[in-house]
Amino acid sequence: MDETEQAGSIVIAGTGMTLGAHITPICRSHIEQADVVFTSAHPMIELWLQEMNPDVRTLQGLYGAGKDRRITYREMVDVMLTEVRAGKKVVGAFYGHPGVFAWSPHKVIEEARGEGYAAQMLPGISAEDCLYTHLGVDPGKVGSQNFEASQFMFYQRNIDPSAYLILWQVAIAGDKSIARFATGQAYRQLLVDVLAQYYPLDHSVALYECPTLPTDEARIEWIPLKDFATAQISLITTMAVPPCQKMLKNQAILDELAELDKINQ
Amino acid sequence: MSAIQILEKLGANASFNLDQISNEEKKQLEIYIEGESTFHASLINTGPDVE
Repeated sequence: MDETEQAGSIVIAGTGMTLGAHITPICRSHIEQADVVFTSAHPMIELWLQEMNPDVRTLQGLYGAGKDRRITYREMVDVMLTEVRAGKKVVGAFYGHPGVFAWSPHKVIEEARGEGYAAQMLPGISAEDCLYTHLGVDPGKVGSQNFEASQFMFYQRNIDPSAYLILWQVAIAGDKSIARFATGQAYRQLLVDVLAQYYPLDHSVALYECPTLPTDEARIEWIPLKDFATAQISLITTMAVPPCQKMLKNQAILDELAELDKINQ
Repeated sequence: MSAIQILEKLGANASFNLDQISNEEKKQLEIYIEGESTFHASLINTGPDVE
């Protein structure tokens, strides 16, 4: 059967980060026209989505204290796919960009397509976009590296301290159980120790939180790296680490480029 | 306007601000915003055993 003939479809849409301000026209249109909308976002965003569609169902109830979040993410996929298989036009509305640091949106698209259903993702304004805006950073200037904080600790990553480093989900840094909502001071100190291999302990880092409501301001708090373990943070806090050294020229490549330029003049 | 409609307009309309709503609407908004403000934001995790 042709994929497009199969009744039932899913569109993964991004709501953006700030209520009212960031949603794209096409994402809003899909939300309004869906048979059912599933959402995982701030409660205010979810209430806002209820203004757009009469059947908005939160996925937030799938989280649980002490529950492995990999089970939650899998359940999110199953809940959405059930409605797709029932022949409905389903929208999964996730905050920010729905495919950035989000497992379930990609997985439900992969599985829906595998079963012959139409499935697509639409971009949204991400927390990373907002971070660059609020901190006045152009990632094109010296480059930007993004990692999930726990993954950054579990695996040996080569980082470039002459580019920006952005660490996401720092409140649960080092959580191997994937079940905690916070890991606490000792785990965050270990993250500081990892970063201290590249950055001086008095290096200024920003704790950043993007506003959900248009009445809120962004949180941008600069602290020395050594103070991160005891800083006030939440699940939505991101750590932005500016470069601590200038970019080093790659003289060997520059010399080869000069030779190419001579030939191609 | 409902509180959520006010918030939406504040977010989407460059010429709309809190000075343009009544005191009663402001109070309504304050009460509305004071409610539940936390949510489970994590949508991805990589365990150390993932290849």
